[in-house]
Amino acid sequence: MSVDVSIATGSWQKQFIPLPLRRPVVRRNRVKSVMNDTPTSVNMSELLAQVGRTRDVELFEQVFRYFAPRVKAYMARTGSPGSAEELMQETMVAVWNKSAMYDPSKGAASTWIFAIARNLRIDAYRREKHPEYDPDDPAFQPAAEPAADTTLEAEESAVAVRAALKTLPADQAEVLRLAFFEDNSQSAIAEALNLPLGTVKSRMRLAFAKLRGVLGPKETLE
Amino acid sequence: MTPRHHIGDDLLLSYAAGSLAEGWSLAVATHLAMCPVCRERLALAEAAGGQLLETLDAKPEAAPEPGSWAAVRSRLGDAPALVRKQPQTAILPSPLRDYIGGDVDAIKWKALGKGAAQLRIRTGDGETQVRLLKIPAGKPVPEHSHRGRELTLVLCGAFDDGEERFARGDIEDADASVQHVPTATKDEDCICLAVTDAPLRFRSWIVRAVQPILGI
Repeated sequence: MSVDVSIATGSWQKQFIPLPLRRPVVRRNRVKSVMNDTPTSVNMSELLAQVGRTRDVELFEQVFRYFAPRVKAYMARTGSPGSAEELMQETMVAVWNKSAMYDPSKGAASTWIFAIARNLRIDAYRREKHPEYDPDDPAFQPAAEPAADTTLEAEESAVAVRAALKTLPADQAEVLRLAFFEDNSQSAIAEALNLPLGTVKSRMRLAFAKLRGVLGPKETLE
Repeated sequence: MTPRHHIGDDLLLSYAAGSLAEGWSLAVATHLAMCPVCRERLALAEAAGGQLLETLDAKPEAAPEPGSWAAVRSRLGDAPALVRKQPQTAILPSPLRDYIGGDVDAIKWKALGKGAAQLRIRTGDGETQVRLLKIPAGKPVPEHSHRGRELTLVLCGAFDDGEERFARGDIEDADASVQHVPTATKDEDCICLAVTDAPLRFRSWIVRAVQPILGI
């Protein structure tokens, strides 16, 4: 299926257009109904970028088969199975609708899909907004130099982040899990673990410092 | 110019996780629009979210229903055009304009006396107090401490707090232990976004007495 994609242009597109031409074409080995027999996460980013360019439903099915169980499990952490199924479907439809905006040089498919799922979850369960910046905003301050991440492929950095997450001490990993999956504010985490709020904050800072370390020396913030 | 005072790691991580209350998130998103450095840090925090998502154990009861793909497939049509109208120029970044319904000239200030003014911004979180503050050039914000955290993000002008200067895009993150006197620089009125998780506690009993009346 080929659909003319006419979506708002933005700064992402300048980088988006030439990039795919440099990338290898993804093999179209369709995965049958077996959930676990899915492609690896690495070629998911290529697949998703290709979905954005080609609007190919069969390719998107592979993305769906890989991410749907994960997104539903994410949604089920904070809601009922029924609403988790509904929110998972909403997320995957949004992934399809926005796929032309996905830029694999900016991050892995999992990063991008996580952000979409997170926003839908906030909207559904908390009835709050999640304010976000817009690169097309005239008040937006662009980076003076290309993002440092372009030197390290987004995929490599995703792998490095995953490795770093595995080496986090148990107490820091737990705080991250509670923040990312159980939708707990810092003070709710403090209460749940019976810790002072300052301890929760410092565990988050330590975990983040560890993640930053994997990407090499970066600007140190005062 | 890139801001020099940034969002703390814990706030950025909570924002990426989606577990930060709306009021704080508004200050974070507004800073992010003005700060390429923090956008890179955010990308890292969201990458952690993506990796956690990938390694999430799917329990059998949370497996997608058999008809999931068919249901989603039937909804895959042409992508809706996601055009977002943007003005030619703007002073306030878009996350904030969305709440105010316009730029600086659309702010309906309420006078606080001595040239200072504020505008309250409503959020759905029930735990933060969000407002825009206008401090006249060269004037201090009344000396105050807080029962909780206070984020102050400079949008126009600048203020000095002790030895430190905070200009457009800079964020000051103060906790209950800080007793501070932010003072607008002499050249220009200073407009800030201030987020607190509890009403400010002013030191002077006179200000304290009128605090409920002024609504600050």
